[in-house]
Amino acid sequence: MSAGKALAFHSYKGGTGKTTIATNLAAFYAKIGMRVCLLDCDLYAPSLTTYFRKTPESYINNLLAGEAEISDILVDVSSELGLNGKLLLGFSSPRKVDIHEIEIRHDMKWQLAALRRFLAAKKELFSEYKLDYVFFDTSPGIRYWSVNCIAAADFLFLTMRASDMDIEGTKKMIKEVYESLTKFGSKCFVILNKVPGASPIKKFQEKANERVLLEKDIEKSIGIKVTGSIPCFCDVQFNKHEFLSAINQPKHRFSKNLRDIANKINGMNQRFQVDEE
Amino acid sequence: MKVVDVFPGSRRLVKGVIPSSSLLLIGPSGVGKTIFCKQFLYNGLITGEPCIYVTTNESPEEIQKSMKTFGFDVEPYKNKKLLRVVDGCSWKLGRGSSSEYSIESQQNYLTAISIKIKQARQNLKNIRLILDSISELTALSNPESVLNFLQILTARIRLEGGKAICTVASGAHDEHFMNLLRLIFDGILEMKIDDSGKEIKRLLRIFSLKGVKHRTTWTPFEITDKGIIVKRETELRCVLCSKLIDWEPITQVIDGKKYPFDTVECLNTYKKFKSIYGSNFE
Repeated sequence: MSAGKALAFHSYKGGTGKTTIATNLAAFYAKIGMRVCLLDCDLYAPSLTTYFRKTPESYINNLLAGEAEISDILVDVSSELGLNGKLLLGFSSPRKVDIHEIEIRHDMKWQLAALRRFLAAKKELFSEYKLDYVFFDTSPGIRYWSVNCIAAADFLFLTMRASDMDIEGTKKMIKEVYESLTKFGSKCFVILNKVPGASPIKKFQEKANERVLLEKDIEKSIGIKVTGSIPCFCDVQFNKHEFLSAINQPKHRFSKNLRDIANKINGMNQRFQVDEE
Repeated sequence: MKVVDVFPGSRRLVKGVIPSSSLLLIGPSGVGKTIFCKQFLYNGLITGEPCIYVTTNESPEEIQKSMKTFGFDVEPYKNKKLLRVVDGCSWKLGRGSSSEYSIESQQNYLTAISIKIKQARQNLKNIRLILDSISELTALSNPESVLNFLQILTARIRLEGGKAICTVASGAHDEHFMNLLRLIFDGILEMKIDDSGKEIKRLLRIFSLKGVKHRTTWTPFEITDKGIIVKRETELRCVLCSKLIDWEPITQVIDGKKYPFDTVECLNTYKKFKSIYGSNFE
């Protein structure tokens, strides 16, 4: 089996479903027995503390400031979610004062020291916790800590919608940031999310192969391989527990599409494939 | 979820995961073998591994007291029966033992120890075991029987996925016995004292350890009030993650300057950040 990999989930704009996909993938992998850590690296607009209803003693913010070790910030939710593997979570602080602090700390010396602590923590996650994957759920756009996370990752998953704005914005980001990273070993892919066609109204339902053709179209337009696409499901998107749909509703089409993406990612890392339930 | 060494200094001296194995710890009297073993045991307890302490020269009470002086409070684990002491010492003091796995007398000593270890192992998996010391066993039983006993013990430990450390005093046995002893174990740890300078130096090395890459150089260590601390010989840090580099650094010349990195991954990540931030990233 290959060594553990760091996966960053990024997007040009917010609202593409990046956190939903990252969290569901992490939970799914842990459900099937893998060892995963999910870090809420959206330091500017964290959401996972609210979703999981956790108030940890230390946050990623404390780790970056040198006030905490990686072992201090991790919360193990494996047994409470009934997972066969391991899911460790690291949260960013939702407090206004902490978000403000990370925004205004422009001193390069502090930022570089914080970055080094982050990179050392990532190393420790693989060497000491024997993880299969570490997920970075990042902030959208080209923000300092988004760029740091995507640079620190082995695989980059750009989530986007098939809208003109997303396509053009993503193309710009790929040129300005991603190209320099892929030169040094990062592998970059697109996940198309909220694709129209899952409507219960027949005339709005996707035709056979429509999504496949859309994926090829986007690949051609952006120049990056599309790993998979997920239709837009209101019942998932607006569900109170959207972040854990993959384990709470395994038979839902959303979960099936997610499983396909999970298998493709595992295939990239020569890990086992999971059959449909 | 604090990560701890398997034995003091293991993360610095061993590259990778230490397999199920029995290790022979050789060293002169007073060098720190017993505290090394106690720390190995305590590190197992705090990471959820059940432990068996086979003692021939300290009573269970003395063990518990001395461990506490280093901050290793084993009382909770003893109460939950995660720490079980096979007491081969109290009979010598002419008094009863607080352990339910105690030897009554010198008679059939090795057989009695084997039986008590078997009883202590009941319902436990992946145990850590220490035997302190082999030298005491040879004082009460013939060397051949001791070697047979150890052969069975180490095989059992390996089969059941456990780890064990057995101590022996250097200089207390003939070369023939020591050579046969070395053959039984999966790894050999050695300790020595260097008193050639102004201050006494304590040194540790892994002479051999099957199945995993490890350092073989003598490494200094100290006995502190928190137990044994194994020191570093060099203080070379990775330019990217600032981690102290335990093994051979990966060096690369970038923009005319030579930089050390801990891993190839660190080097590639550094290049990525350099490509984004340019000279600001130093």
